[in-house]
Amino acid sequence: MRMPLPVPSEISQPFWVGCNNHELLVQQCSGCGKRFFTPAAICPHCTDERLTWVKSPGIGTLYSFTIVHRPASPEIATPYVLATVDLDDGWTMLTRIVDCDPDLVRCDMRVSVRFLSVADNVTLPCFKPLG
Amino acid sequence: MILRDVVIAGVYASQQARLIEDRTPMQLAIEVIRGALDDAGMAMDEVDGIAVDWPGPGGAPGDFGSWARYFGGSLNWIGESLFSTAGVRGLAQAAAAIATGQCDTIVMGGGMAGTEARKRFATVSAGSAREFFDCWGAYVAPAFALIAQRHMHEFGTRPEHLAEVAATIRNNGSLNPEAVMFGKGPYSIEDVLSSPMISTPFHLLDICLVAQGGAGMVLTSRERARDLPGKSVSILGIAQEIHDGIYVHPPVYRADGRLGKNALERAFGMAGLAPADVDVFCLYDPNSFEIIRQLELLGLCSEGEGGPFVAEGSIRRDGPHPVNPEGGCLSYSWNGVQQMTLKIVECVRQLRGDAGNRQIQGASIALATVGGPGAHKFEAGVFGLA
Repeated sequence: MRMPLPVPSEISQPFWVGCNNHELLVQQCSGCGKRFFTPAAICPHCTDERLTWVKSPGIGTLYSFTIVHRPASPEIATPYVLATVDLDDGWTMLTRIVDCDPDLVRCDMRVSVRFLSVADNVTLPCFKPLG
Repeated sequence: MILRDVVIAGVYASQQARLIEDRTPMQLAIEVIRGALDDAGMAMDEVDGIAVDWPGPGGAPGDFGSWARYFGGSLNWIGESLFSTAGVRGLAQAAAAIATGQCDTIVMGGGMAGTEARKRFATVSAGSAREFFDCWGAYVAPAFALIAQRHMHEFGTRPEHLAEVAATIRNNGSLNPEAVMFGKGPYSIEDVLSSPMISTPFHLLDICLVAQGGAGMVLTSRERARDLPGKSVSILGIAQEIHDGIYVHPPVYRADGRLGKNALERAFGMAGLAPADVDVFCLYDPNSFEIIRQLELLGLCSEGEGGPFVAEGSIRRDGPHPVNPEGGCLSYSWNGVQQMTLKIVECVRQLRGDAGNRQIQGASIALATVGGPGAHKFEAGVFGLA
């Protein structure tokens, strides 16, 4: 079940280090106080450049999903569930839903982060049903 | 000059097929140039602007300056990238060059042929640009599916509604001798729903083709076109809307579900027309749901009502708002980027009365669209006879 591995950039490196440590890190703007994803050089909300990495509680709500039956490339096992999750601390990410029968996934279900090791030193922040 | 003084004087569509092996991409590019100019009744030596893909060999692929030596050794304008060669976005760039007097006659277009060309296109957006996309197994169809799925959750849109769109447009393509899927079908809603699931809610038949072929267009001034033998088509309104880079972030319905509404308002505003004035709709159809979404953007029905709207037969060729009479990307062709140009080619043919057995009677205003939330961009062009 192997998707292409992410190639970190100088901006995103802390995110992936956090994942290896099973911490969901996200950038927060010191100007407006908002959090955002994907990692950026300036705040997408207010363009301030004073950004810090903070730990997210990793709990949120599933906004939308799709059960993929035909994979991006043949060596990837299916089905898998792609989803967009709205984190409670105010940001959104694309991810995968795991530890759940795909047919039971629903929009607006509550989810929490579940770190998945996919290769040496590569950990993906997937999400599972909360509770 | 103003926008509507720029006219499409010639159009050309090559053979469209799953695989075109008897021509190289270069030969296909030359074919669409000659075809579009022949259709316009113009000669190569009159062309002073080019936005035709340069596939090589000789010169870097994508460097359109390499065309100059076939056009008298000097051009006044060239396009910048693959997206300059196709669709409404390419048309907008070329039309701006003519409208501002930077050049007089532009040929745009290109095409995909052979297995090597397919590989080149596949690497267009690789690398760290998709760091937070590829690792999840995301690709085009699932990205668009995220929008459809949320719409179904919020508004109760049903798989049968999507299947109605797919069946209608595929049945149009089935009757079009130029379509990749000519003669296939006819399709019922049940046929679509029983085709293999690709990425919920999209079944195989909800998703567009992968094929090859090319298209081209000639743009010039209305004044020049007066002396040409055929009917030219005016660009009445044209607009774009861009939300993000392509395939970097997932689309989310609350931010991207109405992508295109602004572009459509601008384009219709420029034209001094409304969506109700449109006789033929050539709407971008990477999947069936995108048609439902665009009907809602156009205000032909309210947001959330697109499913029941199509279930009434609204988009059929004999209905009040015919969509993709030639078969669209679902069954006429998808060939890399020139399927975007084919939307405009069909508009021109319909407006000229040249659309054969798929002619929408009395067509005088046509709309072409390209893009969608999965790609975070949208383009719209409104056309009428010059």
